[in-house]
Amino acid sequence: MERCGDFDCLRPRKKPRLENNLMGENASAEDLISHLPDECIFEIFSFLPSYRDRFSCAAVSKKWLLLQANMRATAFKTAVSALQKQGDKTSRCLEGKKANDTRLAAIAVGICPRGGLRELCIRGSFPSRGITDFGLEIIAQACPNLKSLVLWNCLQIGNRGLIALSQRCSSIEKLDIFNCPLVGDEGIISLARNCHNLSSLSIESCPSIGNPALQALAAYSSNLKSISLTKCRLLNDEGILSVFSSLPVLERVKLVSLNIGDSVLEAVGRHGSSLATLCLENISGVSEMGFRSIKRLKKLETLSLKTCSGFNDKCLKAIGTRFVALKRIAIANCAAISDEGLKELSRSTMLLESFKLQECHNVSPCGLKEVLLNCKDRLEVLSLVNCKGLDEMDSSVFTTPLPRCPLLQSLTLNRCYGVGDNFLSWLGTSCVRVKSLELVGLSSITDKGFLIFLQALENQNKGLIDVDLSGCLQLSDISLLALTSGFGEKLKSLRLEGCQRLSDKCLSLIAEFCPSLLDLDLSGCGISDGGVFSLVKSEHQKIEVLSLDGCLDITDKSLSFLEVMCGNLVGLNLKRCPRLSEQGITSVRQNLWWCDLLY
Amino acid sequence: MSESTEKKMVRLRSSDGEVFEVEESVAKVAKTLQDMLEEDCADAVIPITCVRAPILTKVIDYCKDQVMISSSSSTTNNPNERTEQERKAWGQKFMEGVDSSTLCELLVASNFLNIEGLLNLGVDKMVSMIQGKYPQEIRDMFNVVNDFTPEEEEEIRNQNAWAFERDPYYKKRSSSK
Repeated sequence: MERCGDFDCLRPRKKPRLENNLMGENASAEDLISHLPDECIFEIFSFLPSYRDRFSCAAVSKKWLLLQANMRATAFKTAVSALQKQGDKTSRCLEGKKANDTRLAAIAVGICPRGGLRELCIRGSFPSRGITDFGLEIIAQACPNLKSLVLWNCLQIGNRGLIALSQRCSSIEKLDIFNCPLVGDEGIISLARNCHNLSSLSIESCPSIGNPALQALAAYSSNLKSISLTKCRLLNDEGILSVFSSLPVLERVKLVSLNIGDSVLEAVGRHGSSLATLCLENISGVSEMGFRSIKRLKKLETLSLKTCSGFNDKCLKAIGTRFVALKRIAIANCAAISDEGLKELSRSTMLLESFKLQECHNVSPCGLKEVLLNCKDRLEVLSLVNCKGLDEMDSSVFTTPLPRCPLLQSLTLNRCYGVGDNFLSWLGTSCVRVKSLELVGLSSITDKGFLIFLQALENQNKGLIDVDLSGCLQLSDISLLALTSGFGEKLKSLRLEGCQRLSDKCLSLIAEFCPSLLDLDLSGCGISDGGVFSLVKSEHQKIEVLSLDGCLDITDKSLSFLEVMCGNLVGLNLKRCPRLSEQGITSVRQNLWWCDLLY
Repeated sequence: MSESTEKKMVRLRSSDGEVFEVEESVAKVAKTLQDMLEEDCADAVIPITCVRAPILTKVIDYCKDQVMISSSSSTTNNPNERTEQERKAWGQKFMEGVDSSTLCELLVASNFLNIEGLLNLGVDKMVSMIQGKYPQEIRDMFNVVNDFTPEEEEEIRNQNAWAFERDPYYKKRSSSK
């Protein structure tokens, strides 16, 4: 008692100090607890195991949050049973500014009692205060059941974080890591050793990851089904070979911008008995010999090749001698491909569902004809982008009619500048049931060609849903009349960017015939206020996204029409409309406040 | 205590310059001081730089009490002869009326001087103060500055809301903050 009395005497001496502090509240109110060493605070927390107390402490300050996030379940003096809450979201995505350790700690504290996260996606962008190894260690501790992890642009994450994760979260199945320059072999090796369920791995632009990492995967990751390797300058044949020769269960392989040679593809051919998808991009070290090995992949369904200079007609021919399973093929920027190769290939690919060509300038309408003749029964998607060889130099080919492709639903002809009316009307007979039509940048086609193309579509087909005619400069209101009156009923998206010859008339057609339209792009069209008025006055229109970018004649009048009549709008583009006033835009912003406005 | 005149004295100087003279046995309750004394730094005044005089007084009180307990039971070689209940009651009494500011300083001091018993008393007291409190109440109690951005605070609240779901008081408070 005496002691307490003594103590009470001392109190007045202390008090003034406290009051001083309180007076200068903003500047110097002293944080009493910050002088305590961390181990002291840990000790205090260990007596507060209930979730409520944990969360309350975590919400006090950043320091407390991090300390709380670092509390292991075993550190508490009394245990609290784990809470299982069904149907709760156990995946989180942190992007940009939000991708920092504080948020990660907040998630960790909140999710920990519920068994932790299943999926975590981090897409950083802040070089200075992004997520660090410390943050990953917190997650590793809180989320032992983590299955999927995405790390993009995490410039500060290194091996330490990945090692912590792989040691504590042994059920990781999927890792996608992009632009993490500090992550090296050590981290991936630890992952391979500890996470035996790893089934999908994607590594892109990680300059510190090399062959030892792949060798570890080859040795330990027997469940790896999908691997994607992009732009890792330390990787070469040695590491990649070991993966293919040791992991015959691989189903999906993507190799982009790697320094590899023929031996890798030979290994793929020899061991890839389960391989269903193969994507190769910007692989210059592989020659014809290497690509010929692809023919040995009996289960291959999807083949995508981009910028592979060694890939030529002979490879296609070799593939064509064996293949039957191939369903999807995409070839881009392979200059050595010509009609001859496509002819050989298509003979044995009767199951082809999707055929895509981009920047293969040696392919002419003859090659296309062969593909359509051989694959007509199953073909669903046909895409031809920027193929200069598709022209009308040799008009004799257009005399042979193309077969009807009953399943063809999607046609893309993008920037094939040689395509004119003859080509288009010739192709129309194949595309009788097309639903998605993309004719972009075909500056040579006119109303005549487009009308013939439309006529070939089967009468019962009201099925056009998406139509993109951007950059078809010569199309006029006549084409639009045929399109809207014949096929407008189900049209959801119509893009007419840069069709200068279209006038206000086309807008009244759209208003009249396209009741389902949601997305309309009129950028650069020669329309005026009258057109906009006829569009919005129609009662049944429910357009959600409208672009009037570069419509020079549009004035504030149009805006007032839109304000009154377009209650459905969620996106409006008014860029480069010189006749719109500041007040007009402000008024739109106020009256259509729910709408995304670009100007 | 009767032998105190023959006992070696130790001088301790608090951070604000006050010098305390205590028996060596009392000082030795603090492990840190014990180590120092065994290394013969006894003649000089030992500076306790992180502890102010009022706190040091309280710490010395605690140490004196410990010495008294152990000397009264020195023959049995059991310093904890008082029953568990008595010790608890004594501890509560010792901590009675200690405010949060003093408590923090006591914790820092007992941690620095390595006095386990006092540290445990402090932690117990701290736990009882924090238990069941809301973040803002804790901040007010210890003058902790809220250094979260409003978005971060919102995020934390969202992550943890489920634990407070059936607590209208929490909802009301958190939304008013």
